[in-house]
Amino acid sequence: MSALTLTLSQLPSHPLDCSGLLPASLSGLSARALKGLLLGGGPEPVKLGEFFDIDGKCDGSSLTIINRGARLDYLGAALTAGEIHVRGGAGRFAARGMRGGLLSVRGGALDYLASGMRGGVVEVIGNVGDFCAAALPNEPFGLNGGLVVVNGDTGDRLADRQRRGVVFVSGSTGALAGSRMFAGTVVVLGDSGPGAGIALRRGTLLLCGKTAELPATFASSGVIELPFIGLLARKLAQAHKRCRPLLTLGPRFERLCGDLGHGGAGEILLPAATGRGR
Amino acid sequence: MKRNGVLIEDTFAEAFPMRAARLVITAIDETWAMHAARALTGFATSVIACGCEAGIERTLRPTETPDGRPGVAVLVFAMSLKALADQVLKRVGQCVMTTPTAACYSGLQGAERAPMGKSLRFFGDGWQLSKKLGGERFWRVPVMHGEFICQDYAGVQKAVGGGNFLVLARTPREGLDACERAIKAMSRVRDVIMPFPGGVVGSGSKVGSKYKFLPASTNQRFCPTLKGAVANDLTPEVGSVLEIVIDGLTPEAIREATRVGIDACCRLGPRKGILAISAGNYGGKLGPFHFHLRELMQ
Repeated sequence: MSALTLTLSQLPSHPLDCSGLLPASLSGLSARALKGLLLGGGPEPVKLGEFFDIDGKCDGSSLTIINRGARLDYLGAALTAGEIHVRGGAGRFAARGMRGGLLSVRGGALDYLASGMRGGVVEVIGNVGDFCAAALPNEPFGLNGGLVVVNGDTGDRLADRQRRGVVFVSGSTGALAGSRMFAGTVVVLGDSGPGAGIALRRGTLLLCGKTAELPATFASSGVIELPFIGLLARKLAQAHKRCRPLLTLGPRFERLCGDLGHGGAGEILLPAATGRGR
Repeated sequence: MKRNGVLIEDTFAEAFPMRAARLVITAIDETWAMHAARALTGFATSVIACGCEAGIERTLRPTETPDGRPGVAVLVFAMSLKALADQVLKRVGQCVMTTPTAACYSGLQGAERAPMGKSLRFFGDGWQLSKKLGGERFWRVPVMHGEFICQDYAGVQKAVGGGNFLVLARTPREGLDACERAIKAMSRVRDVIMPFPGGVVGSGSKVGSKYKFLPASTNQRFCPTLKGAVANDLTPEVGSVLEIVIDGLTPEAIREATRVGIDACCRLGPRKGILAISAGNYGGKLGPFHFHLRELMQ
């Protein structure tokens, strides 16, 4: 029997809460039990079988979901092990609270990707909405561990209140990237919007493209040769092939210390060629 | 048993269990990585009085190091995890952190660990940064040359110390010629170090002494000047005995290094002053690892 594949067969009129669709939860369930599985998100719970064609059986290690235009929220939420492969994009809150395993999404994701995530790997091929790896308004921390790889652009407030882990964005990012970060690392290969690093306490923002206006509360240490860049590039390239472009970076970066209004123990690193040198 | 006319004595080298860490030192170029490695492995010939035994294992290409810079791998051996941890911390702190542009990483994934950056980070006086990458924690300590990067812990594994063989030669010069060739050949074997100066011991010791306060003393059985004065196996022609001590991560690595080293010595033969190969042992009482020379050279 082949691995379990859920293919969207009918477009729901409302978002579906897919937090229950985890390899471990679906392991060993019969086709009938799978069809009767209830999904929230709308005014009434709906049965999985009403919207998805079910093919194969889940062995607890892998699950494939083929989306065709629906907003599937909470994909991979609280995932601890195994792999979820999504084709056609994810809705909001994908990988929320994830602790391990792999969530692979082709087709982009909406807001709050990897919020409260603590471990594992999330890879998204496509653009991602606002508050990627960020905290919900009622939560103290955003990303709290693991690796988030976005092969595309992200919206505003990337990694807001991030505490641990690494976010890698191959494209550009919107305004206020790394705002209120406690620690961790954010790498943006493309351009970044205004206000990056505002209220940053600790942590590293590596901004390789053009940067819009940065907060005045960052002070330049000048251009410095940092072997850490080589270490970061190699470790991320080992962790995920999409991070390999980092290997082409040289060691010379302008280091901006800040946010000086919040202790100044964080940093924004800009390649020497694009550094502002103020 | 003879190899190229050189007698291989029917004896064995006796080695004992140790704990070992491999440290990967990188720097802006190989010269400065080597400066750090030489400083770290200085005064580390024997656990008898140095606290540890350490040596340079090999140089590393940029593609082999964690940060993509040239590097040097060193091995540090001690009798216990506690002793090893103490030596690693002191030597990395005083010898690697003080070397301009140097960084220090763990080169082993051992079950046990010795703190490095975990303790050295405090040198940063609050400005140190922690980065967890690929499940490993690294510390970035701001220093005057720029930034000192140090991995949180060094992995530690069980290892073997005290592998050895003795080169019985007509003169000191002829003995050294053979040992230099042996060390050159043995340095190509992975997972081993020869911790003594130039890899060669000129004053091999036995365990104990007539003096109660001394844990080791001269091995009179192999002292040419004591021929006739003590029970001594040296033939009249032997005028110098040199020892090569080998510490390795595994018994197999020591076995291979011993074989390669003896083979290099024997190539010179009696005409170049190499008369016999022997080994140091203590009747099997010192350690559980026995390397029988004739088995190795078959």
